[in-house]
Amino acid sequence: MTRPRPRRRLPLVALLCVLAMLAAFALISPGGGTQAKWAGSQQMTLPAIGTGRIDLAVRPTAQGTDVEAGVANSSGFGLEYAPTQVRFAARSGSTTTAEDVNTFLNRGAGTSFAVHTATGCASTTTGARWSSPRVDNTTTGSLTTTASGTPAHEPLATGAADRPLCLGVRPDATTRDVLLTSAGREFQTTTTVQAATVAPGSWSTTVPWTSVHAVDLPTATARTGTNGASFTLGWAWPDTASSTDPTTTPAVNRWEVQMRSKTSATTGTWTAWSALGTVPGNRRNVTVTPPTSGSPWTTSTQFQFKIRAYPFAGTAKYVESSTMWQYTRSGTTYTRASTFPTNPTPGPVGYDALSLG
Amino acid sequence: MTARPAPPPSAAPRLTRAGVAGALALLLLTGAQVTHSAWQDTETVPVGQIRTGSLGVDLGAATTTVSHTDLTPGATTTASTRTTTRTLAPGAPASGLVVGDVMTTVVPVTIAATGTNLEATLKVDPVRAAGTGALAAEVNTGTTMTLTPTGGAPMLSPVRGQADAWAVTAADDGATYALTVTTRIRPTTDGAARSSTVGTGNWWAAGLQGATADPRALTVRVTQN
Repeated sequence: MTRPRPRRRLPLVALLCVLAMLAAFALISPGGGTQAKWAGSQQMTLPAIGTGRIDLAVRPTAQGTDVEAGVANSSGFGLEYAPTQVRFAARSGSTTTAEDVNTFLNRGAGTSFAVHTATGCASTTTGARWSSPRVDNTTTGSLTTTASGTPAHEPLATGAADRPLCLGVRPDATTRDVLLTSAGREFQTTTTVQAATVAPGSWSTTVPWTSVHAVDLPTATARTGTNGASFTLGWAWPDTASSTDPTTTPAVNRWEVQMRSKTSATTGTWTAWSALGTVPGNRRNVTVTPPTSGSPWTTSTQFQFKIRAYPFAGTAKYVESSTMWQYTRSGTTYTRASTFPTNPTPGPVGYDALSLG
Repeated sequence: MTARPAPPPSAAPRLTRAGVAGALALLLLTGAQVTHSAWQDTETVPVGQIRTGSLGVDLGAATTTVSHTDLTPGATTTASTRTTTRTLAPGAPASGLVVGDVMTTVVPVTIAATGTNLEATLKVDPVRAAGTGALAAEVNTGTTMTLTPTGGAPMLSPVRGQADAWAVTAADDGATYALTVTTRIRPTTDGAARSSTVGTGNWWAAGLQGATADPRALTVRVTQN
């Protein structure tokens, strides 16, 4: 006997039909918007970005007795600049000592530094754009000081080249006094030049400007000469009017007399007259007594003398007199010529092109 | 006559009734605006009048400028400055920028949006810059965007809760907007006026000098809501 199929399937089919109709009805009824997800896009490229950098150059254009530089701005944008610091010390590798630095800086009320924006240090003794206060208590052989001015900075347009900067070293002493104590000394100045973008930008950098500042080493000048078996040679230094040197720490370490014999046919070589011993640096004359025997004293009748100044111990650096003494021997008597011949090669010797050369 | 006992209650009728009741409830809950009356009408529509909608954007040619503050020509003081703007050649990088400079790219964006009851969102997505670390970060944080109607286009409303996104409807179809992307390199590390002592405080000093940020892709996308 087979069991009748359950009649429950009919209502279930009816239920599914109703649900299907409802679903179809819900889908086709206007719900207020389409249910699709349309989209579209396009792309573009924003440019790459590269930043510049401050490119300030401070190139020395004069060193030695004048310290000048040219300032150039290759940044591609305008700058403002100012020297903010100066360091003063002995030139690296030179024979100038820490004590020379102290002596130079501490004269009078001390030394100050002035920076000008005009060419020519010699013509810019006043009206400094930036300056530092005087300092007279240096004991360490170097000085670092700040420079300031109002307004603080100068404009420097892009592309500006060789804008002059002149560093004036201003000891509290006359030129003559400086020479008497510091002639031939070589110092090194390191000026910190600060550069920044103009407002509102805030990039900044510093560039060191290193230069040699050397004090001149003048030539001596033959001034007087007596006659006789012994005679006195007198000279002037550091200027032609100077016959005395009151300083206790003279710039000249020692003087040396050089002599050569001269005949109508031959001219001898210059030799130091060592018999005189050491002639102190603050002397301005020396009395010589030529030997009465031996060559060339008895073989030559013409003699020339010149004076050599050594600013330091040793013989590497010196300067000679610009003029010479010329004597004629007759027996044991020496008579000076009325004129002082010119010394064609007075020097100075031992200095490079950055300082006195 | 003996009464026949009532048949036991069957589960099928109850299930059917429950299904019909649920269906009716669902029917009542779906769209109150739907009428279920049997009204009908018939119109003859010519073939070809049936159109689908559209959605898209079209970008025009971009123009990029850089504004920079510098000394006026012949300036005798550092306070004598002026701000100038230069236009980059198409595709050229913005090189030699200085802190405080502003790079601005303007590109026309034309919207295509047709369709009944169409609602969409216009979104601008710049790719984050890569390159020298500090500058890339500065570029990313310093980039802002605006969308300005041109030629009488209707104003677009920003989408709440989304950056650089605007609501678009079919009413905006054909409208053109100027998308302005501004990249600002702050003049100082905090964006404020520079402190009085050069090189200290909020000065960038050597920061961001000689740095690079790579080109950035910028996608303008319109998506149906």
